[in-house]
Amino acid sequence: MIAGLLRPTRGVVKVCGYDMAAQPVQAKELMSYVPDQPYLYEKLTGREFLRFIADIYKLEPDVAAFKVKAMADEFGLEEFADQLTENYSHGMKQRVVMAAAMIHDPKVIVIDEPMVGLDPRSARSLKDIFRQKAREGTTIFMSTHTLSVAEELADRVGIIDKGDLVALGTISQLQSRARVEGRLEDVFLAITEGASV
Amino acid sequence: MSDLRIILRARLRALLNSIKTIRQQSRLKIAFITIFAVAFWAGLFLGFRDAFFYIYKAPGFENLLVGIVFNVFFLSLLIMLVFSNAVLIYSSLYRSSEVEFLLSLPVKESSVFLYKYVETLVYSSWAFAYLAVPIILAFGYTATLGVPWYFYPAAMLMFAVFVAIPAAAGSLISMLLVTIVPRSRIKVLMTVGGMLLLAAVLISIKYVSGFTPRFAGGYSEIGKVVGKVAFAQNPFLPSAWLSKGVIFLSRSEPREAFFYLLVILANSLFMTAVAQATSRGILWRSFSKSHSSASRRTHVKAEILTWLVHKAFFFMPLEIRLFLAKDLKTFFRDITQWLQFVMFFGVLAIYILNIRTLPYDWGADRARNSVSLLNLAATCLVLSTFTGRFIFPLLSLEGKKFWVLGLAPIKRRQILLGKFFFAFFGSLAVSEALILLSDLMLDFPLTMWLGHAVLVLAICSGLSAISVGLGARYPNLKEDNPSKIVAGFGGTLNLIVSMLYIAIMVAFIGLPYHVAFSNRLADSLFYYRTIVGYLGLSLLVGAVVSVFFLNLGRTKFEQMEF
Repeated sequence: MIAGLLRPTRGVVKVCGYDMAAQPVQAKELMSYVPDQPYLYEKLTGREFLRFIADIYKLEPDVAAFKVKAMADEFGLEEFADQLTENYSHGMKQRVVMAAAMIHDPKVIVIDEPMVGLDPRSARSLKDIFRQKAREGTTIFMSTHTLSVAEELADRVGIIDKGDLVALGTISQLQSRARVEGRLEDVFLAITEGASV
Repeated sequence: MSDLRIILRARLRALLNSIKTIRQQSRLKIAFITIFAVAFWAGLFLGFRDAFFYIYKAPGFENLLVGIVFNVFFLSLLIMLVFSNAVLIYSSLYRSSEVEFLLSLPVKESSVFLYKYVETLVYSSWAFAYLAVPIILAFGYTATLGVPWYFYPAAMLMFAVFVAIPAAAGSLISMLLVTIVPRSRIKVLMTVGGMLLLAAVLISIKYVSGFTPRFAGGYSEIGKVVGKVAFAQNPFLPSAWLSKGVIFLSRSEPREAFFYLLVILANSLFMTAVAQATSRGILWRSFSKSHSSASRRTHVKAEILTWLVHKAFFFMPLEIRLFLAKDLKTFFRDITQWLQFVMFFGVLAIYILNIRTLPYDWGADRARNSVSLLNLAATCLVLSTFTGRFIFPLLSLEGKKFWVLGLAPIKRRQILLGKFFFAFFGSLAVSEALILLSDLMLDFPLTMWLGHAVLVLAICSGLSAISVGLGARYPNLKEDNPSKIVAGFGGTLNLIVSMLYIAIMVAFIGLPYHVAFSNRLADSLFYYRTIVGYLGLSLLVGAVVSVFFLNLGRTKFEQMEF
């Protein structure tokens, strides 16, 4: 719904002040969405795909060329950037998709299960990039079932149980609420058990 | 640069990259497709040429008759294109991960629609263009007074402009259906649409069947035909505009032809604008609806289906029955699969039900035998498209879930046999019904029914084994899209082998069987021996082909790593 794919039955979704229903293009220009199974045009090379995304976000041609190069360097794509994406491994695809998601310096990134299928080096690199982007002021909405990743990265954690947001706050706030001192996994179980009852 | 241009430019780049890689792909595939396309095209040209020559044998009425042929032909194509566009735009707008991707980008929903509209237009209309070239060439070739030089390019331009009308109508129908109708009822409506199309084909066969071969009744006969096809000349039908435009072009009347070109162009643009404007308001709404509301629960139906499979195939091992039930459930839950199945065999059934209305001398054994043999060949060819399109990719579609099968305590041979029996029993039920219906309509005796039943059994077994065996021999576990799996080397080989198998069975067993049948001498013992011999041979060939191809697939499948 935040990404603008589903229409809210009631209420309003606003991204950076833009109503997703009334001004979807303006809202989407400021954000990126990376689903758990990202889409790539198989018959484009990684570089061509990045250029396509840069054009969609209306980057000036010289800026687009610079950003494509910069993203390819940052995400270690140079080695395979000129091969068709149909030949990429899952990790390679994920890196291209991440590079595409950040090419226009979004203010908000919505990302679903980013660590699935990544090798340890790529996962570490992605975590570093997320931390850096967050420090620079980018909001990152990450949905995950891997609670250790959320615990490691998130400033605030929301727990959704059967479609309802049952808890929201920093890890310590959630621990206080659940009256559990342990890890996020224990906090999650305590809160969702309470919510289910 | 507009959104649409950026997307189309990327797709063009992808297309160019695809063309580059084609050279690295199967030469066999390219050669087969080229030969088949050219042969089919040449066959169409010759068929249309003969039809027009025949029409010109009715002096004084040729213009009238050409008008009738064009009106009915273009109307049939118009109806088929509206329906096929509705189905295509449904899958490309609501079942494609590309649309999900594009809607997450800052792209207007009307641009996403226009992009998919153009794509659908190209996909669904290439066949129309492919058919249009031979009919235009044949018409120009046979015209008694000749046609002006500009006839060919101008007629093709008219066709190109015309196809946007059914594409826009199909798109509107599809979007409005998804928006208005609850998701679970879409299947019902699609079925109703399919039935309506079948009814249209039925009506057209009934009308065209009034066309007798020798104009025996002279004026009154032609008057009858004109009366029967009056509906196709309705001036509000786009197919009638196209028909008139082409005829004016052929008569060197460019002003009148240009008028009809403009009428078609104006309506194409108007319909496209209406479809685009509609998408602006409802694409997001309908996409969201199609992705958020749950489909109707099928638990009870699934239980009944599973129970039926276990009861009907009680003699088979449990593992095979489980795979049969799984594949049947998957088939019935995928609207695109069973809709195409219904269309393929539904059209054939309607044709067979109307055989008697066709202008042949049904009293003559020769005519009945010829039509019966052609019906057998047509049913088998349709069957081969079914096994090629749906059965060949079955194993590949297990794809990423393949490790589940690999780790399961089941012999891989049984998995393969499960797929084979699914294909065999599914195709056997439909094919036997069609062939027996054909024999009933042609009033054949029980001996012929029995003969056909045995021959069809052998053909179904062979075709199912070829598709399952080659599907296991040449799997593509990375691909989720069955069309792409079928388009690979294995799919092409499957098509060639299936065609060859049908040709052999029909020409070398079916044909002599019919000859023996029509020349029977007082049902002598020799005749019965001959018949039994042919049927025994068909079963033997069917069994050998089935075992060979299943074994071919098994050897690869058992060694496959996942």
